[in-house]
Amino acid sequence: MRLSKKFILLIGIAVLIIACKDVINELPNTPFSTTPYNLEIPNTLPPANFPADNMPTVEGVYLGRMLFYDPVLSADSTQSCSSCHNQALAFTDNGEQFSTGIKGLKGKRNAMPIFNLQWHLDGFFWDGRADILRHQAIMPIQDPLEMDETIGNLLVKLNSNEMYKEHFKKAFNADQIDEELVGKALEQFMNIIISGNSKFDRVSMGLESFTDQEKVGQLIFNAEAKTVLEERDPKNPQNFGADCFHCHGNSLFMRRELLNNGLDSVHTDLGYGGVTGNASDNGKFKTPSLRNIEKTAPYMHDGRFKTLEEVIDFYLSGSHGTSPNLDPSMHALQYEVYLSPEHKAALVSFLMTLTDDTYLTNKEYSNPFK
Amino acid sequence: MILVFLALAFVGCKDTEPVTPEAVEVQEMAVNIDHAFDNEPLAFLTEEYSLASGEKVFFKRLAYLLADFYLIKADDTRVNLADQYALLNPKSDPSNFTLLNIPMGEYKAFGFSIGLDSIINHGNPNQYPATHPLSPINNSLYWSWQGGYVFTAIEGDVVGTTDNFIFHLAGSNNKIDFEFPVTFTKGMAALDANLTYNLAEAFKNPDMFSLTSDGRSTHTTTDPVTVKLTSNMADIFNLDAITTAVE
Repeated sequence: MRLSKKFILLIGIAVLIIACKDVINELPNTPFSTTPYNLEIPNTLPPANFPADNMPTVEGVYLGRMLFYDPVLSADSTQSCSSCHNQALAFTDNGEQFSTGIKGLKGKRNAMPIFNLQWHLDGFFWDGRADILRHQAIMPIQDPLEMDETIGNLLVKLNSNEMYKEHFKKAFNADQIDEELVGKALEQFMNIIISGNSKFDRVSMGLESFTDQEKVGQLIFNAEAKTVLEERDPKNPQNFGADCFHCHGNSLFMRRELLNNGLDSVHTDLGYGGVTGNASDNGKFKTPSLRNIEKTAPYMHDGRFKTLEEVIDFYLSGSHGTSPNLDPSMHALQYEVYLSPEHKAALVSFLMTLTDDTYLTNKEYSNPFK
Repeated sequence: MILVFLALAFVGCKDTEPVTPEAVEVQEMAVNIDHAFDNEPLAFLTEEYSLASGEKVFFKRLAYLLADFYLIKADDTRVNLADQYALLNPKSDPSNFTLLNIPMGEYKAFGFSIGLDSIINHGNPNQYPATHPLSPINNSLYWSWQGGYVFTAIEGDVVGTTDNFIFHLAGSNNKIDFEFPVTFTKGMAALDANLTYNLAEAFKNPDMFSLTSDGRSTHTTTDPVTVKLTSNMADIFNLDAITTAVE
């Protein structure tokens, strides 16, 4: 049988196409490029720590910001992330102990602030149940006590929305919006929210000075509380350490570990133990940053303390000794420690220097729809 | 014509053909540290250990910083492995790390320090990326009150009580230097080094340490608790072997 030249030509082209399939697949259909997001980080914070597979871009950050402020994320389109995370209050929930979801139900823990999240190495939420930020971002959308939406419904809504289709195309070159990309967009936005221009930062950089009261407060913050019983004299003016530094001592004012600070002698909320199933983790929670602490009341995972003075009184009360899994960092505070009213006020005045008005009012973090 | 196309198919796609790698020198040493309490593996939170004093404890945390790695060649040349650090945190992380820039040659010793020299210890901690051993958020071993790092943190509870202990050994005066005489040859392949860290040493040799009489916490870089534990740690490491890595 004699093969026609046309047939041989077709076979030949087919062979070429099959043989070079990998090469052809690597060729982009259309040019796609994004603009790197230029984030200036002050030298009182560590170098940038973005995930290599989700470096922030102008397009991705803006998309994440849109999603953060858009009630489309909730089942009845009444709540966005910003409903419970108000920038003016370090993205906490307007002084509420527990946030109210779309069904009017209260959450179980206090809404956490949002800043400097790129340096959180050991998970998110008070109980650390989300390993990375893009996974965290998806959870409140689905939580029945919060936005109570399904990912399936959300993706239908987004994929039928021309505005979002265009922005996902620009940010990720995606024709189809999926859960991973929603998480990545929100991750990009939240990762570029930084707080590093407080008075503390400016003093650290030599640009300003602490008042005398703030200086005393910083000493108290960084001084050990006396621990040995015989050395303790509740009225001794030298006994002025509040021992904050063991857990809040670096310039992020937090620790990566989830720890038990001795709030309860019986753990009604297991915290990290509820995630790991290990009894030795019961009562452990995130060690939050003290930056912007002036704005993030009420305090602790369950918002039990309304004021910083109440928090200080708790730590000095020596009431933690019987809490199972108490962290040894609380060693110096295991017994009652005395601080004069003046020293307590000084400590609060130092904590106030951690408020960062630039961050609280930064337009880059605000509602893009307004 | 068929032949021409087949030839084109092969020639046109030659980039996809496997390339035989050439043998290259690997200037690395993989260091593995086994953490022990005398003859038992070191475990945390739930494993009970008896100190030489007879006191029973649970350990909740052991973390320390290694620096100033170096090798001594057979001809007494010193090879400093500059700017290399290791954070050991055996409760949460694997206890191994890789040293780089190790040239070929005959060697007779390996050394390093627990702790940092004064310049590094008092440098700006925010210069380090978040996952660097000297990053404060990574190691939780930086305390602003001292303007430096804790070189070793040993924390735990006293069994059967609500008492805990927290030893934070800090200060460049408490840097501990180790040098192990060991003969090995570095060729083209990487090296494996295996060490053992025996935490029990800190509490017994040469001076027995008692939580009750010596104390359950450190306060300064010169207090008796710090001095006693640091002195006892001079023998805390054993080098088991340095061998050529098996590929």
